[in-house]
This record gives sequence, C-alpha cells and structure tokens, in this order.
Amino acid sequence: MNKTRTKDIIGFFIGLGILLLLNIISSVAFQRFDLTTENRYSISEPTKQLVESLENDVYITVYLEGDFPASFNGYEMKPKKC
Amino acid sequence: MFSLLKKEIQSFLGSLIGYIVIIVFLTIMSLIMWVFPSDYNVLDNEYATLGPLFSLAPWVFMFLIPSITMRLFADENKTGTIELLLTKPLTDLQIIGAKYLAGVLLVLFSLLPTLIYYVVVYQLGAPEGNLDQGGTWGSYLGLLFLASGFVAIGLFSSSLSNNQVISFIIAVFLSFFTYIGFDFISSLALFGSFDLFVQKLGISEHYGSMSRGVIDSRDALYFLSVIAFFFMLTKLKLSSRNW
Repeated sequence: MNKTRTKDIIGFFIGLGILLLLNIISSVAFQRFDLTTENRYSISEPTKQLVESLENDVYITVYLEGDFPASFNGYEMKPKKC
Repeated sequence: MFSLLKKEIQSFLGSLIGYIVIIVFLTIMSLIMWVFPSDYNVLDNEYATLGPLFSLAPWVFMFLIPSITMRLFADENKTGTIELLLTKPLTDLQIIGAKYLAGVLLVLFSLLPTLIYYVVVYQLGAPEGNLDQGGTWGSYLGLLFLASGFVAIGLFSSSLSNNQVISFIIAVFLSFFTYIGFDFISSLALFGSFDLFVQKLGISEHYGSMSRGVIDSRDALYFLSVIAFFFMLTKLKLSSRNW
C-alpha cells in the first residue's frame, strides 16, 4: 500500500513542477490584449516617441488630494495606482 | 461523468441552496451598486462603468462560493455515498471534474442576471451607449476566472472534511488568503527582492489588471494554474483512501 502513496505524491510534485515551468515560460513569452476601446492601459506610440526624445529628467507633480465629491474619487485614485 | 454533473446541478436547483445563493448574491450587489449611497454606487459616481461590480463581486463570492461547494464532497463523506461513487466506473479526475463544473455552472447562473446592469449602464450613459464595451467584457472574463478559482478552492476544502461547516470555513479562509493574503505578506517586506514574487502569487494582483479589461496571457495562465493546483490537491486527498 505504501507504494501507491509514493506514486501519488511523486505524481503531485511532477504536476506542480509542470505548472511552475509553464508559468516561468509564460512570463517570458506573453501576449497582452488591451480590450478597452481607447487602449487606456497601453502606452501609445506617440508617447514612446516623446519619451525617447527627452533629454532631461521629468518630474510630475499631481495636486489632487482631499475631500472630493464621489465623482472625483476616481481621478484621485488613478495616479496612485501607477 | 455527465450523469454525475446532471445529478449535482439537480441537487443545487432541486433544493433551496442554489436559489438562495443566486438571490443573495443579486440582492447584495444590487443594493450596494444602486441603492446604498457609497463609493460603489454607480448612480452617484457619475461614470458609465460597471467597475463597482468587478471590485465588489470577489468579496461576495468569497462567502457565497464556499457555501455552494461545501457540500460537494463533505456531504458524500458524511453519508458514506462517497464509497458508492468511487466504485462507479469513473476516474477520480472525472468525479472531481463533474463536481467542479456543477459549481462553476451555478456561479455562471448567478452572474447571468448582472447583464441587466450592463444594459442599464449602457442606456444611462450620455450619450447613450457610452460604455467601454470591450473593457467590460474583459472584466467579465476576469471575474469568471476568479470565480472558477474560488470553486476549485472550495472543492478542495470540501474534500478535506465530512463536516460542511468546517469545509465552509476552510474554504473562506483559503479563498481570502489566496485573494489578498499574499499582498499583506509582501507589504510586510520580509523577503527583500522576493516581495514582488510573493505578491504575484496572490489572486488580487492578477485580478486587478484583468478587471480593468486588460487580458494578459500570464494572468490567464495564473488562474488556470490555481485551478489545476487545487484539482491536484483534491485528487491527492481522494486517492489517499488507498494509502
């Protein structure tokens, strides 16, 4: 009976290894689909060109915090997520 | 396998459990999204988006999915019908698969009525139809992945015990932990450069980007891996009867 136990446990760890391997492979070769209509979460081509053409460091200051009506909360949260 | 699937679905819909889960889910979601004044209220937010649905649903599912899945194996263990089931000409994986599919289908039934929200927000937008359709469908896909992950967790917890309450509590804890627990651990900054890796073990990291409507093959594979992982654990538990 001990034999089936070893076999089951080895099988489990082999499966675990395959899962890990698949995830490691997929972290190198992946595909990203931005389904939002205006591709909101992807960096657009003009932005890439603009950033490439920059020569100095860029500092961005966002003045947006405090008690806002609910409709502004979305704006407040978005820069924090970046 | 299909007869087992049919039997499981019939026992959901033939008893009160299935209906109660669906009704409670819809009641909670509708109240928070349309009635109670809060940050999650769609009408107060003044955006034509279903975002609140996708940020709230994981928390509601965390309690409702374990209550669907808790009886799947625990009940069979208790009444002893598991012996009968295991002597049927079915492999362990087929039994797990049938019970799993039944759980996923019930979750799907509870999500279907939320398409009404989609229609409502679509029509309330100014101009009408000003709703990010691609993004919303992407988010639905993410929610479906998340829910099927929770079902797999619940199924495993159910196989651990012959007491439904115990398997319910284990399932809620495991769902909570895989959803947000790894985030908490990584925020403790215990592992230095591995913190990001620890955070990526959690569901919320992957669900976050999917619920915005960005489908990444890495996230999809992560969810499939979570399901496969708990499938393997369940299979290990089932086959431990022969040890």
